[in-house]
Amino acid sequence: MSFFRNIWDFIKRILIIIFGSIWRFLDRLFGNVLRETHLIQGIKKCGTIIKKDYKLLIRAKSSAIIAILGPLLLVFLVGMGFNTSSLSGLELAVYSSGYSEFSNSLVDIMDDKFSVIKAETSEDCINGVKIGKYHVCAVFPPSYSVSSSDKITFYVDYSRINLVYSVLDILFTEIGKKSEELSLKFSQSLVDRINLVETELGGKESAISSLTSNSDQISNKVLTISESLNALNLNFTETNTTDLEEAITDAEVDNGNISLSSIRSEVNDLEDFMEGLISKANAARTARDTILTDINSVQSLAGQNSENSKVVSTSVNNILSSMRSLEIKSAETVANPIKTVIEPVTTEKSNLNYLFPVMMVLIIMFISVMLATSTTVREKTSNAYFRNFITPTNEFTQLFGSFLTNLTLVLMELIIIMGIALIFFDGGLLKVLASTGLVLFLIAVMFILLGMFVGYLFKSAETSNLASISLVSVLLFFSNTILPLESLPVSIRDIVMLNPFVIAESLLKRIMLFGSSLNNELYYIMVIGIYILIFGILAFAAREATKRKIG
Amino acid sequence: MEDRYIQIQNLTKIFKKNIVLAGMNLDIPKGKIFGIIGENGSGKTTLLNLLIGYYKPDSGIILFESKDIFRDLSSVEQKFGFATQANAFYDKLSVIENLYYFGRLYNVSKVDLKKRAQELLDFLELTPFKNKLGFQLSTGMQRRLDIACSLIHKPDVLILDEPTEDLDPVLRKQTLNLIRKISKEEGTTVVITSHLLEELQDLCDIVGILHKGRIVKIGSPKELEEEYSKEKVVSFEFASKDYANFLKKIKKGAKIGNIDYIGNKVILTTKDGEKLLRIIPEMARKSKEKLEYLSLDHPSLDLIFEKIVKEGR
Repeated sequence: MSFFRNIWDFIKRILIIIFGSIWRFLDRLFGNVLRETHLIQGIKKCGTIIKKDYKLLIRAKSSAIIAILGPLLLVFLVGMGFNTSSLSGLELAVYSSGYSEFSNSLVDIMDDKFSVIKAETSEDCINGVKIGKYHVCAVFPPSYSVSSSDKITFYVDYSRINLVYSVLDILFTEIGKKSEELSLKFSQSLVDRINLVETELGGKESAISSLTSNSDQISNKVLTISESLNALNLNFTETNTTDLEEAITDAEVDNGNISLSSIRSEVNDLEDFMEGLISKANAARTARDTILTDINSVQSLAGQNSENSKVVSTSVNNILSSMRSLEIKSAETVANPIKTVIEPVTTEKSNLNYLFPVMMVLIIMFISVMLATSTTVREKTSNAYFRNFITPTNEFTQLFGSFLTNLTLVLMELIIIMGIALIFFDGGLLKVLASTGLVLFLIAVMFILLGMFVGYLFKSAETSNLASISLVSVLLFFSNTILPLESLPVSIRDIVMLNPFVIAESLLKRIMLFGSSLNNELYYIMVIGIYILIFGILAFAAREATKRKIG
Repeated sequence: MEDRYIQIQNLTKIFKKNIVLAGMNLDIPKGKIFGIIGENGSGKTTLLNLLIGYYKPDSGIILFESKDIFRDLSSVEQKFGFATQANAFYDKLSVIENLYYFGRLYNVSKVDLKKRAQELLDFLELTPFKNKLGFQLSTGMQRRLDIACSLIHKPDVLILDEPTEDLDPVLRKQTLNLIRKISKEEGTTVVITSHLLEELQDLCDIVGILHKGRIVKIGSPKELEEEYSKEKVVSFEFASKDYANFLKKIKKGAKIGNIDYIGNKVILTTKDGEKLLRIIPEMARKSKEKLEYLSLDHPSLDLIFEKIVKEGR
């Protein structure tokens, strides 16, 4: 038993030594820090300042309502209002001095997307747009048809720039469909004819080839005939029958037995015949010469035919080759050679989803700047402000306490807004909740410090509030919210791209809509960090400057 | 050491070429009520702000317990309490909330704070109003609350900048009594400013007269009174209220300093007080003036202050 007790005592001593060492080690490391009154008291003082600020805020009912309920109400209204993906209630006025079947068909198409009103006159139609009665006015030429070279004129109000592009987009999408349909029809007709030509020419290719070949053969054969005819010797000379007659005469004298007279007769006949033959041969020669002349002509023509056939054949071959090499075979390709499909880079469905990051930054900016300005000014104009300076409280602690008051308020509102957002985003936000939360936190810090700076900078509540409203308005105007930044000159755009609102909006959009990771967005985070540093220093300096004024 | 509790040496403060304090020297003893009298704009508030380290001097030093206050400002802040002309508390916080808030900023622990706040509430008779918001208090109670906020950390030195300003005579008296009570019961050194010497006559142990950025005279009210007691103040009033010719005649017969008017009375400062007391009735008779009032007094501190200021000019 005593053995075990000794063992236990030993273990206890070991444990005491181990934990004692650890404790002494930790005490050496952190003990001084924990015992250091400034740090602990600084934290406690921050808590006291926050508690005091909250009490003051709650007791100033109007500012509490504006600061806390205002933004939440705004978020609710935005959520209700923008949770849709289409424009509604668009009114299109049309006018034509003579509606044709075609123009009516176009009006019918537009009727699907717009509430179409037929104006009495073109002036009514155009003036309607000017006074905001209609969103677009379309004036059709009289008796408008497909073959008409006249144009449809659309009148739009470019001063409503945020709407006009949406309206035009819808309009030209619908008109475009009809235009494409017609274009397809015309192209089909053209393609059909081209195909017919190709088929016809393709079928006659061998015939043209045969024609060329036959011409060549004719030419060759005529040449042969010509040569044969030329080879014929039709040159007869007069037959000398004198010796034969003398022989016959001698025979008659020597030998009276031979009927020489009959032979003579025969010879004479023969002579006659020969003369006849010569005569015919001469005639034949004349005829042959004539034929030869004709054959030469035929041969020449056959040669020409052959050459022409070759030219035609080459052309036909070229045409066929060119037609066969045509890639566009369908009318759809001719009518719409470039096929485009617009795919959203996100899968969001409503305007709210697209607008949400911008709305969030907008709300944070307004809440943070306005709240920070108003709490700072309220504190600064309070008689008690001076007493804070003469207490043994670090000035950074006081600034930090006020900052934390604003931050906790903004964060509370953000939590509520994000809670509501989770409903609208169908849980998609959960995937990026951590990074979104961190980014929102940084954005809130940045704008709170900006608001505090403005609050300390100006003397009265009126000027401070006016300045903060002006400041957020400027930040808002020079952002993508109202006009695309691309519409600004390059030199100004480069500066505006550094607008804290633009930076915050871009970062949040990338995180929330595209699911980008924080690692990929280090540039934006770094810029926000720099702004936080700058605004923090400015707020501190402006606070220090107020000492002189209140002393 | 105790006589030189706070030492101001060659202190200069300039705001945008405007010399507010010009090489000022002053010693404030421990445990006393030290009054600083000066005209409006003479630099009283600037001096107090320099004393608590809120402003930094352009030259010169302020020593507290022989140490430069800017070397360890937070310990000076911890030992000094300051009540401004305006009530420096949150009017949307209750009396007790204000005390707790400033107590925490003065590093008073929660336990001590509760005790100290109750002490002050009792001491300054604020207990019935402890849950009232600042703006709901009467002017006198607001002034008490402001002083309570200055005392919450039990300071060694209480600095009061014209604490009776804008108060009616009753409240003024109450406030002065309260300051006396604080000095006596808490042992606190009090530095108080006013532009009315008369007001501080019975309150202060020492009074310094601040003029053109310098302390031009310093001493107890009694000392100041004695120094200027060689002069007398003769007051008289005629039924006709026509004094022009009469004063010309008098000036030939006696040495006359200041001539002033309070109401229908003529106030003369003179070293020939007894002589004037004799000749004024005779001359009035000869001039057929009906003398309605005649008195001979020592000059008040206000008149002394006025004289000192005029001398300073």
